[in-house]
Amino acid sequence: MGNIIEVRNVSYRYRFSKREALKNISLEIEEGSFVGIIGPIGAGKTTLCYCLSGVIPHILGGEFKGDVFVKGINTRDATTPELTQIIGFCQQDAESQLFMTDVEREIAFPLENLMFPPDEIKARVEEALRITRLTKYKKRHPFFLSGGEKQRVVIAAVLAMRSEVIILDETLSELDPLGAEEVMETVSRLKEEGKTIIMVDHDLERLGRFADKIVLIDEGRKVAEGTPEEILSNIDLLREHYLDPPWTTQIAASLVRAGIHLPYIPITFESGVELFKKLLEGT
Amino acid sequence: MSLVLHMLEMGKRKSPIHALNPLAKMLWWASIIIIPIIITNPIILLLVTFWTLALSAIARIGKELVRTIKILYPLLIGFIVIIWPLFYPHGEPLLQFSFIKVTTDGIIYALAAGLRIVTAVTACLFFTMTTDIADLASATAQFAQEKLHVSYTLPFLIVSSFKFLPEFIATYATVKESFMSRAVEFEKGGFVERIRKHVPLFIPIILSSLEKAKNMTIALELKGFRAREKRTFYKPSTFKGRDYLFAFSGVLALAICLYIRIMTNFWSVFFWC
Amino acid sequence: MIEVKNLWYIYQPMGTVALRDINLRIEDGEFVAIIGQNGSGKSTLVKHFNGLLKPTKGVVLVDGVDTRKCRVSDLARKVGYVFQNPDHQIFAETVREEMEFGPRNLGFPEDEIKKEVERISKKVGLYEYLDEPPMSLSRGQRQVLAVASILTMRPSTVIVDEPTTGLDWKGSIEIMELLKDLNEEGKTIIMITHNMRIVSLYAKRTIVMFKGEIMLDGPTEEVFSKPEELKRAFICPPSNYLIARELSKYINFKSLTIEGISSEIIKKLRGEAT
Repeated sequence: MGNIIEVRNVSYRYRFSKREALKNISLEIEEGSFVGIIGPIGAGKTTLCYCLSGVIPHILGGEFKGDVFVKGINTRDATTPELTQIIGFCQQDAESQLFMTDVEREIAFPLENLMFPPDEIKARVEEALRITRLTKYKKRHPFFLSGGEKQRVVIAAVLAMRSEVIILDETLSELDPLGAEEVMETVSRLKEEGKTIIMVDHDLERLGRFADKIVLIDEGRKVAEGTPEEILSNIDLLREHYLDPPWTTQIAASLVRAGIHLPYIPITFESGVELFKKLLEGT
Repeated sequence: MSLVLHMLEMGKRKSPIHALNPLAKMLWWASIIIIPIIITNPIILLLVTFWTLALSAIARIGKELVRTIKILYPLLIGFIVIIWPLFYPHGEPLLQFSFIKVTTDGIIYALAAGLRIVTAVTACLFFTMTTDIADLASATAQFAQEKLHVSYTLPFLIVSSFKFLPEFIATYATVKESFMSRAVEFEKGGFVERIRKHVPLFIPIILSSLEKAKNMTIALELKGFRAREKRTFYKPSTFKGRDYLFAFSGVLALAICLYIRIMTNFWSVFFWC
Repeated sequence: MIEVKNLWYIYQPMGTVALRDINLRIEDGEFVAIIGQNGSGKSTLVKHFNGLLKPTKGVVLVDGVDTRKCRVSDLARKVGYVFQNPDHQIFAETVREEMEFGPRNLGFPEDEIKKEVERISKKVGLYEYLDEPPMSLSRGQRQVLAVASILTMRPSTVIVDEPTTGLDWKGSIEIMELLKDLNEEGKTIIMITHNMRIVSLYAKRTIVMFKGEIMLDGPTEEVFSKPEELKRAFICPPSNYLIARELSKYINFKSLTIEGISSEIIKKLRGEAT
């Protein structure tokens, strides 16, 4: 499995802005992997998503330095319609990405714009509805959908393009726990199908469960990159960048500080509890 | 607001009428709506209204239609029937206060005017409740693209506004509540003062819309909006026999009424004189 | 003090029952979290406290006065409501103007307003920004501004709807520490939230709502220790409670904070008395 995305020395300054939003970022994303992007507000995570999806430089102006390669193609050289069929981008606010008065039309909308034949559109709409479990809502006006359902419609519209990479920018941040669970269920199914997922999220524990790699961004720079075990167990690093490490990890860190030896630092609830039980059983 | 949305959502149901091509329904509606403009004869108007109601029964929207009628019509008709006679100058006076004359003719004419409104509004409600706005926009856009080479932008804007309008109204309600929670008394004060109090409400709405506008632009670009000269349609609009028949029935009714209007006396509510 | 007796709220004209026979009492100085699935009636309930909604059946008393007899502007003196999205509230050209709006509507004397704005802006860390446009502030600062604009009205109760949405961890803690501060000054804080971590860290009392009814109501620790009921309300307690439960076979946890749990595990592992 090669790299599906390569970011080389990307820097970016928004128009009318004095500071650089991204400073010399380089990153490789392997095909089929699940990459989590974390960092405090204002770190540049959304800006990075813009660069990966081609929004920068095609839609937003500003000063863009460096290169982003998607499947070997430089994003500067491709058109937005070309890029959108390789990388799908789900922004944080669901409502500003939905334009139609029912769900199935919303999914069909990008395909109509790109002149897909009606039979193809029909097949893809049905497929997207099925994957996101929205078939029963296909005629519903988005106003009547819950937050989680709206986000799934956004994802469904992106799935209709059959893009291999899907970027989710804080998709779960404003959802209630049930809605977040529903969306996460869809996302994990996409991962199983072999799609490359890039997800920006604040819930480190949730991300740690699914991600193959975690990238920490702050002040426009890539601060750290590694497996969830490497990054999420590094409590000092996370705290330094104003993030809340998983609570089992925090407990484990306290134990280590007290001189207790641990075979590993847990980063999820389950592995933490298992570890603590083993330790306590020994007493 | 939720009632309006509910009415629009009714256009998505299934029935023999809902299945008709939206353009056919639009043609029927456009024809029928002209009839009350040129005709005041209550017999004709009642026939048209009952025809519309019969179609509503077939469309299975009867219950909701009747519910809306119960609320709407007394208001509309009551208003007309009371005000109109005060300004109708012809005929023998029944009552008179200075320059205001109320005549029997005036009252009859007012009732006819009320009936015209009823006929027109019934047709409009029928059309709204049996047509999905997105289907209509799509069919219109297809027609416009094939025959007139006109772009999709206008139909798109219309459908999108129906998507964003409820959200916009909900935001407005929230902003208003936040102002009420800061002791702004919207119910107090004269007309001008009340309007003035509503003005600052638009600032948060506009500001949050601007932020949304950026995200929407990005989303539309990514969805390939206007990336190509033309577009294809998910639900291609077809014109079958029954569509032609339905549209024709409306046009025929209009043609008959036009004939009556031009060639006979029967069009007027005063046809007996 | 807020008293709710047999409260029912039914949305017209659709006839949906949003609140069913709610009975509740919130004393002065409490810090209450109201949690529950979307649609459980949290916002509907809380909008009765400042009179935005009036009961369909039953009665809501704020400091002994029936809310049906008051205007929202009267209740705004006692109960402040901070909405979820600060951008649905902020409209003024400067931070100062935004903070002056509420008290001015209430008819406070100008010199008092000026003093209060200065005092509160210093307290919340917005003093340097008083003459700046609100849009130049970060989201977290705008959230603080929204709270500050309510504080200048000097309400004894502050209702906050989802104070931490849209904020990262640092921003969340900042706003919660402000609320904690206000509570220590004597204000009643009522918070609607989905963030269970924040609830367990800051709320002394938690009310769980489900389908328009109150399912659980009590001290936060008690409420989070009832997993069966919570499950029915589709609530998942924060991980510290779950951890404590899983390890309850070995340790009887007294403190449920992360530090508390850690130290009790350490003591047990060292063989010390807990």
